[in-house]
Amino acid sequence: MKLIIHDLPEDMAKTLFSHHSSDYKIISGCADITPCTGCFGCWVKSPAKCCIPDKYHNMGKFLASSEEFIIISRCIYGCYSPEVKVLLDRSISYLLPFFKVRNGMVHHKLRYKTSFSLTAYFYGEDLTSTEISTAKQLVQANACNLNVSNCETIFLKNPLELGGKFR
Amino acid sequence: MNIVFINASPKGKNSNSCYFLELLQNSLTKDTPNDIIIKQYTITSPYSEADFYTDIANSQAIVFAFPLYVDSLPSNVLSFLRKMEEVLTSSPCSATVYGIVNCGFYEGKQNELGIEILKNWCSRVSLPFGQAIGIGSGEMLGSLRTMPLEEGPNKNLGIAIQKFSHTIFQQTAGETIYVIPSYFPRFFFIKAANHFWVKRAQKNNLKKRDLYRKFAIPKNEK
Repeated sequence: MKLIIHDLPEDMAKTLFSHHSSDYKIISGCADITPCTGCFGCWVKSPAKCCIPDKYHNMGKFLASSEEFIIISRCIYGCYSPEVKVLLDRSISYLLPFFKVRNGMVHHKLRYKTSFSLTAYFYGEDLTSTEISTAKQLVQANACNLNVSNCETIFLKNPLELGGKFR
Repeated sequence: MNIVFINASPKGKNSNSCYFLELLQNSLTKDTPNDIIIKQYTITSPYSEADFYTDIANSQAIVFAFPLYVDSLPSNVLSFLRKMEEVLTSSPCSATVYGIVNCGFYEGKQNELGIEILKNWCSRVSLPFGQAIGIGSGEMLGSLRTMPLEEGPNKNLGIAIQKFSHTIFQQTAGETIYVIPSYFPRFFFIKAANHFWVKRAQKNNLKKRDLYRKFAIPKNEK
């Protein structure tokens, strides 16, 4: 499976994903999604599953089912948009609560033995060089924490530049 | 001196961010209680936006406190900053921005990107950035509230808060201060933290092995 999370307006998402194959699972963060409250329930109450009872409680499962993870987000302050970030925050059940040292620092142990590739498409007209640098480092940090097999960060002026990419 | 504290933790008033702000308040008001007026807002609790932006406009320092979520800011903090950006572009403010970012990992350094994102926000809203503290082992240090700041694992935190409050009071800028627990080596932190999760799960009638639960992933879904 190829998992896409994005913050695109509905009409743009329709244009970009209208001919996608059944391989893709596409999740928009633009709905009114309850943010993660840091309750750790997905680790110690209902392990592997977020405790917020909505259709985003299985984000960890979707990640575990993916061979490719694609993020399409407006870049704000060198970070993902809140609409995309809410989906990432709700995904931490993908990992275990337990710690271990990886790449010289403490990280969470992996719940699943599988891994996926990560491509982050950041878009925005007037990104500063500092924001671009922060965003690149952020994707690298996410890749380390999520045990990503390979990752790429791509910057676009306009998400419509992705036209025809997801078929 | 007018200071606005923004507790931006999704856990609100029961958070470690709120506790770290409390420590900062104690340090700031210890020697010169009458010179400092602190207004505190919690973004998950109801507050008057008019009062908030008036206090922001009248402040010399703004201190954000939030936890690190997935290597960066929690989604609700990003929404809050975006909204503040909209207002600040049309309303005068010249306060210096400071930050307290904490994470559950051992190393305070892991908060670096959260701090960078806050600095990038400052550039967007044309506010000077002063200093930040990146607190590692935030959950652990937040659970040692009854232990004096001069003692045991709290010692580094106490020193950092003192230096940070001095920078704020002087309205100057400084290098980021990264905090790890004092006298508490990393291997011991990992052991203690892993035990903590099991204990916490036991309160929900779960055993250690339950925490490793997985969804079965059908082969054709991969």
